[in-house]
Amino acid sequence: MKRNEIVLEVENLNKTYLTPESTVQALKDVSFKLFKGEMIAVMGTSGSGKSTLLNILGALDNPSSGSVIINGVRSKEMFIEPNATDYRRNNIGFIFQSFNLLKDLSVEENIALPLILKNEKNSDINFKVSNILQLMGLSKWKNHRPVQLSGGQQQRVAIGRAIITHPPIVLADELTGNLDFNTSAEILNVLVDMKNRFNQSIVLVTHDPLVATYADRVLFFHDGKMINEYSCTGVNDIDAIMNKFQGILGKKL
Amino acid sequence: MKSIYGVALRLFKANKFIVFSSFFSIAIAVCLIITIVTFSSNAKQTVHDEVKKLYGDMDLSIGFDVTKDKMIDADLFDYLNSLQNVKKLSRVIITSSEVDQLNGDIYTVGIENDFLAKSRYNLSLDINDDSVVMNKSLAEALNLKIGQKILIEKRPLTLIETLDDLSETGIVVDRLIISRKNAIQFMDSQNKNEIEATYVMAKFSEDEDMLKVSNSIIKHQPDLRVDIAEEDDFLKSNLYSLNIFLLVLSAIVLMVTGLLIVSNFDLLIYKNKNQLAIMRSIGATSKQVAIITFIQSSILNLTGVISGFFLAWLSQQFIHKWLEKLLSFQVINEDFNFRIAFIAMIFSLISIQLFLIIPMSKTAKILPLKIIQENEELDFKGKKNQKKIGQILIVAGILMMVFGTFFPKENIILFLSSSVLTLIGIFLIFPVYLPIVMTALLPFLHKLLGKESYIAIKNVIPQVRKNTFVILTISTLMMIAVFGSVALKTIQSNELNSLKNDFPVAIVIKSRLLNESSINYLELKATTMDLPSISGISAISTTSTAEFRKGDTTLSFNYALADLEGLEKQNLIPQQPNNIENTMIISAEFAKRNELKVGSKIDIGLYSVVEQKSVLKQTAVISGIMDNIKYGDAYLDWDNQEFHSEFTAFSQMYITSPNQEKALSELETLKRKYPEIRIHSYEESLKESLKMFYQRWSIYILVLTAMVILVMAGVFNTLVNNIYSKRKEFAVLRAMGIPSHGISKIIITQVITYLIIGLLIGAFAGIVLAFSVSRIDPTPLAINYTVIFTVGISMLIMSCIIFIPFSKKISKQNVSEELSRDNK
Repeated sequence: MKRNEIVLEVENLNKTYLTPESTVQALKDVSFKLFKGEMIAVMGTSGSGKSTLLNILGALDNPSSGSVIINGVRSKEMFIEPNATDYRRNNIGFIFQSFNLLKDLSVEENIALPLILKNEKNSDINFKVSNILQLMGLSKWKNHRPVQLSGGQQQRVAIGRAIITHPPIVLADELTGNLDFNTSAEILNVLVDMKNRFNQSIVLVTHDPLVATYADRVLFFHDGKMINEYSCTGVNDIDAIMNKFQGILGKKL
Repeated sequence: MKSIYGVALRLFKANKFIVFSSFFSIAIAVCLIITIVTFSSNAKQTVHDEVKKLYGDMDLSIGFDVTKDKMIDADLFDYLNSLQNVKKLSRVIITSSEVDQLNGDIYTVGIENDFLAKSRYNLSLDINDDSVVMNKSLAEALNLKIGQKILIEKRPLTLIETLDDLSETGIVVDRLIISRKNAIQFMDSQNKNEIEATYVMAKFSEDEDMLKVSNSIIKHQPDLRVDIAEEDDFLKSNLYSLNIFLLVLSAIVLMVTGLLIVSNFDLLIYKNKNQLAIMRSIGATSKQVAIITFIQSSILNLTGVISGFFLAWLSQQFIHKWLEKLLSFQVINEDFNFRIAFIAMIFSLISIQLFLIIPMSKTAKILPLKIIQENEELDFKGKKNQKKIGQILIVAGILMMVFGTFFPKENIILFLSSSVLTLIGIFLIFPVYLPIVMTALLPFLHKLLGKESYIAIKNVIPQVRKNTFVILTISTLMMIAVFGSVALKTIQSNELNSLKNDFPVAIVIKSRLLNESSINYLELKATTMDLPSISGISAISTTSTAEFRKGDTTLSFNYALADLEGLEKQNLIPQQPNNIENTMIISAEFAKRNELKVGSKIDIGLYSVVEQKSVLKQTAVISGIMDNIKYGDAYLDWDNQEFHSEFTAFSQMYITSPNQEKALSELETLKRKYPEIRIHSYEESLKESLKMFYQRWSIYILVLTAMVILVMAGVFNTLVNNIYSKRKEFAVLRAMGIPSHGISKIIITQVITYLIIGLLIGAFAGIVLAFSVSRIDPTPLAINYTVIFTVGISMLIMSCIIFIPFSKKISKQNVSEELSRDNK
């Protein structure tokens, strides 16, 4: 994959949680770069620090030390409200494992929400939403409420909502965690399609090697550290990914 | 929905019941408030209109009694004109004149063409020497139309206006109104040229005291009759206190509604919390989220308030008639007072919106989704502060109450502050301490109520803080029920005691001028004794200060002059010796203080300003000791001239009579000569007092009932939603082996627990408030257990009626379906 500009740079990121009983270092000296149009998979077991990393990248948590540079801008204040909210609105698209759609809004309204929050004009909103609905194959369902959709359809709505503002970075947390095998493949193909279409940069957190094969690169995490990195070419890389993962865990998967 | 406004409405539409119940509560509350306020304003206007109807714009009417056959002459008119602050005088002639067509005399009023005469006689047109006005039925009888002429005393006059027929006794009184000049000419009198008027209407400047003026007129000419244009005393004071009562009730309605709406909105926020947290995590600012709540609350408030306004307007005709009956207060003007209603509406809108700042500030604190999950447990800091502040407030409240007991001068402020601080303290700390108390009671409750109730209460404990507003709403309602009923009953009981105190006999005549009364009691007594129904008379004067010798010192004491002979005949004082001029009746407390007994002699006198010392006048003999002397420490006989100081004035007269009704009617005639007097009968006062009490009691019960219904609707809605949010948990319990009737029991126990907590806290708070307020003027508390139990029992019964079938429905749901339910 041709390397474009750097959209995200993480430098020596550390995160320590202090509790009365113990000190937990959730992230230890993590550094990596994310390029425009690139999808990286962050892979690791539970407690490896991948969710913590995602929270920090989404300014839902702040690092103990280290920095996050977005589009060349390094700012410590980005983790403090109201800057954190501004940062999320302007730079991040979230896709959650449990979709987290607003149950009282329709498909169309859920997708339009980020544009409404940015105070965009009605005409622009209508145009953009209509495009995304078509791309996601959801035009027929635009007036349905989330509870009336299947898991796959709901996740498509979530993807649509995440990318409608063309944020520099999309963060996807266990995107296919609540979906079956076929639907997972479908969703991942949609995500890759969007990535290619809009040159979207994506950080995808997963524990599933098959999901990781859809990424351009896989970053392996264990015990808060980034242990290894692997450049993917496709689904054929699954064995290699599994071997690397096995190596980290020290056991056969 | 392409804006934040659209998002707000969409979230709103998804919670129809909460929205509707809140809207309904606001509309009903505002309708109630506007109805009360407009009724009150119309009642005030009615009283004003009644006076205007009777008197027009005048302040006084002055004339001789008709039986005296005297007229006001030029000298007397000049005197009246010379009175201070007189703005206008209008002369009126009362005579009769012959209508040629009828060949008979008709009652005739001759007036000057000025605003006083026109307002008094309801004329809208100017009257001159060629015109006549008559009542409608007379005009009909004479077959006369406006513009036509009629011969009166052989003089042609043109009919310019007809007036409504007056009928005070069912019989219409015909009357003619002509110019004063014509009336004088028509009079059958030899001294026409000397006649100014039969009576004069007078208008004074705004701040002039009519009682003083009327007194000075009577002093100048004792046989004049002076009528003051004013509202009936009782009506005036009743209306004033009724208005205060209605205002307080309106404020209470607003407060309870505000709490209810906040509680409802809390629920709405809870239901939308997850969605709002999602919005925060995708980039909504806390301001945007708060704006959503602001839009929702404003729409609800505005539509509710406007609906309440229209509801009040539409129902005005029916409700006012019913209120008139309920309050025994006739309202003439039944027009909807748009101005007052609009002001009440705006005030309600602002007040409710202020309450809604609370949920708005809560939504502003909603965190993005990920953080919200971590932070749900972290409220220890808030709890500590709340506990500290609550404790400080309660201690401060108790201290203020103690200080108030020892510093009577400042005690009103201290006791009121004490009650407010204590109440706020109680409401702050109960969410903190209540779980501790309930946890301690759990083992006992487990044994008493069984395992299901134990589980239910265990689940309620951590929810207490979350449901603070529900409990607060129930508590406030109960507090109002307790305090309101206690206050009304205590006031009533105090009033009855006070009445008994004020009426040693059945009829009491008082002077309204107090120390400035110029009534000559002996003259008044003589006039009163002439009345056939009067059997006994006595009187008390205002109090003055005198001196008495005690050992080598001179001390002062307060005394009143009293008609001791009269009082003795009425059995109001102990038997007196024959020579009462030098006798003195003292209070038991004075006797004890100065070691005096019946028969003791005491040197008494007055302080001389000229000599700058006490001058002892006589040696008085103690002829009686009474437990309570109402005014001062002692009574001296009225005939004791030495003690008639410049400050001594007639205060009140006690009348006994075998026929009270007749006596009261006869006593009315005294008012013409003594316009400053007020005649009170114990029976009438008691009747009016009871009437006033039932007036307020009725409206209090009406408002309380409306509040109970509204609160129940709101609270039950919240509890239903609480239970719905726990369906998965109930399914888990079913899966663990609790039968469906056990689930029912759990639900009912939780509901009853919330209600009982709220009712008990409210009852306690109400008693604390009533106790604090009662310390201001120490009186025994009269607790109305009926109202307290009725409110509590009706809420508990209603909750059973609603929640038993509801709980049965929940408990019978399919377990596997319930287990897969997402409670968000």
